[in-house]
Amino acid sequence: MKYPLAEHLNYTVIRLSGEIDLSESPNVRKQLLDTIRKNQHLLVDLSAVDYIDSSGVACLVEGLQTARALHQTFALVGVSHAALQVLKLARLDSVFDIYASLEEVTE
Amino acid sequence: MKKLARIHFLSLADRLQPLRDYIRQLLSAENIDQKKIAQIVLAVNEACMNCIQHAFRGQGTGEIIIEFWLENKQLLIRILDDAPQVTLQNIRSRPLQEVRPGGLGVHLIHQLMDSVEYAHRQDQPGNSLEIRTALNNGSENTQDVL
Repeated sequence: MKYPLAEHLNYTVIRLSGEIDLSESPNVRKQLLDTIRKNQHLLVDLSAVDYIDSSGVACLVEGLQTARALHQTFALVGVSHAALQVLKLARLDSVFDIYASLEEVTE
Repeated sequence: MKKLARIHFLSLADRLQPLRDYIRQLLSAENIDQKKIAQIVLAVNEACMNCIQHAFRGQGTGEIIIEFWLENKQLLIRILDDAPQVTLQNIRSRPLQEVRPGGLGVHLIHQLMDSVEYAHRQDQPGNSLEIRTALNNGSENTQDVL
């Protein structure tokens, strides 16, 4: 599945959706890293994610670390209840910058 | 003990989505609340993922069996594989202060379930995992999880 990209201010927004699991996470990982490596500040919209497991969370962590190494922004937006609870269980909710919605994101 | 189901599936990543759907339907039919079902689905998914990734090491030739049992307001789930036996002492959560990809599955299972017991199968070569969760107050020890 190709996730839609959009522009917001000087950020690229990727809107993930559905169930991010072991079969889907390699695809998610590739799209996140491809975007970051194009020197783009990335916002990951998780509002339409119904389910995420530890393989999906690992993609987000790798994206964050890759972006940090390149001195780029990597943040989460509109994190769904299901995704937020898994991040909390993994004690990663405080590791990511999280915005309630795109309106909260400023330059 | 009341047996709810015994599911057989191949150790392939693309089998996890239909497995999760099946578990949701199975437990909804038992009137288990949706928050508890979400916890169980995540825990079972993580356990099966560990089988696929670590026990079978990505080789999709094995079989995973999952049994669901109801016992005194507890749900017992037994996950059996026919993979080479793993070293049980190596199954452990990693320190969470290390922010890095991977290695979260065991931690999540322990967070979500009341008891977690890994063993080698007695009936044939392979591994087993027994997890239990209370159905009346199961969310208490996981705070507002899922």
